[in-house]
Amino acid sequence: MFDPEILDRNHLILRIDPRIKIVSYLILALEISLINSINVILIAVTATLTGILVLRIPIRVFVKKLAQINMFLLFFWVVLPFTYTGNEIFTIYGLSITSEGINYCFLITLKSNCVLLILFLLIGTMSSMDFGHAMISMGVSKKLTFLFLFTWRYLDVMWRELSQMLRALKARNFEPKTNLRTYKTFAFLVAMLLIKAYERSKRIQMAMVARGFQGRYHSLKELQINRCDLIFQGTVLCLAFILGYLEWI
Amino acid sequence: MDLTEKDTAIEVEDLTFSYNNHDPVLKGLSFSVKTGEKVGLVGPNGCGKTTLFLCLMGFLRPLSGHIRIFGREMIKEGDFKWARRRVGLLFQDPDDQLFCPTVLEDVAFGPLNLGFKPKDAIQIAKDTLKALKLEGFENRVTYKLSGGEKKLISLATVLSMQPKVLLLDEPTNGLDEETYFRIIEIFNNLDLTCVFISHDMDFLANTTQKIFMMKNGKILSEDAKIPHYHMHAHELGRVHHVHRRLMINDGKE
Repeated sequence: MFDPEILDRNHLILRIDPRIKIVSYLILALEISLINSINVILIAVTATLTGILVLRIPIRVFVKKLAQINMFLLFFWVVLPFTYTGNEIFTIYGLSITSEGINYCFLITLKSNCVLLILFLLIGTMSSMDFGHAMISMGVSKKLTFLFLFTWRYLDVMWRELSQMLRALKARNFEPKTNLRTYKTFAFLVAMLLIKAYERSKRIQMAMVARGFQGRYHSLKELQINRCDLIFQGTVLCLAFILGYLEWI
Repeated sequence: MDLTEKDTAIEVEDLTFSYNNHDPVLKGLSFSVKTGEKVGLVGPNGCGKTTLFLCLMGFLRPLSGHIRIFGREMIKEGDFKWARRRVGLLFQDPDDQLFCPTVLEDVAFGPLNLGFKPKDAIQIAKDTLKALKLEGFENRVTYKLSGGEKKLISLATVLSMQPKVLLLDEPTNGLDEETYFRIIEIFNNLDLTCVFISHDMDFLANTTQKIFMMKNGKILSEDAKIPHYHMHAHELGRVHHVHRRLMINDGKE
């Protein structure tokens, strides 16, 4: 769900039925998380990158997000090679690095990057509204879907309200310390945020009902699976089958 | 429905409302707005202006009194559902109104609820945006708009329902000068019955024919006129000077 303006509005990936995308993502993500051989994962990564190239999606869109998540993976690289038991390659200051540890880190890194790329490619390229609509038509509960959609929309507003209150605290010379008063103040802050969110939710509901909302959810796009969607789904299933064949058979 | 009833868009009689069952906010309030009329509603903070709007839309249920929209008595939820197709409400905070990710989806939300097909809803949404000179906003993300843009888009989301009456809660709050004049022009070109809540006398002088003064849960003066009419940026701006009170109630200041 990156800026949809980056892609051309008629881009193929934006036209694929969101349900197909969600199903494809679930299949591939599940399979890749179960694969344990580096070679097969490398094939999966190559296939994903090929897909991105073929669909002509500017890869720079993903790079920043990938970099952020890989920072988190660095933590594994710092810890795992030293703690994983196996063949020692060499020792620094009495700590031994194992080849199994390095392999394992490599596997984790490849797996997570591959799943993330697929996530960006399939789920990232639909609007939250499409996602919600697809979820409902796939039988996910309405409440859950609305919860998702409204969280998505109002995180920003809640964040703004929180920073406003924090600014108001600072403006009155509040300095957080480790004392009861600070804890109390932050507790008030959280409580206030919850109350504000509740009040806002009531107003939003009124605004929706005022515009004729009756609990039914409409989308501008009529979901319809066409040949293009089927070809896409077929390709994904083929890939899934090949990966599974190489890994387990 | 006879002709005189049709001529009155909103009619409120002896309305009493309370949030906590004692100490009512609205105490026997009565007023009416004729079809095609644009009126203002002024009064101190917390005097119940927004509460009145919420009562008119059926979101709050009064303890007693009558509300009639185009002559139809509002009693059950079904009556209000009927009314909401005809009466649009613009909320004070546009973030309450805009909840869809993109502008087009938000403007089309109302028409979709009214039963229009997606294709027609998109067309209505586009036409509404065009009428407000907001072309090119269709695919903008709602929460990334500026304050003034949010306000204009909120107005579009209400207008796309093609209402006959508009209830507007502080429509000029926090607008820059350009958007401010634009919104005045928009309202003056709208052929709708409008009720504005506003503290901005210049704005009301430019858009309304009548101003209601609200105080202590009642509407005090049926037709408090606007005695003078000028824009605030004149030579005396630099010098201390006093304007005459705008509101005259029963001949007393």
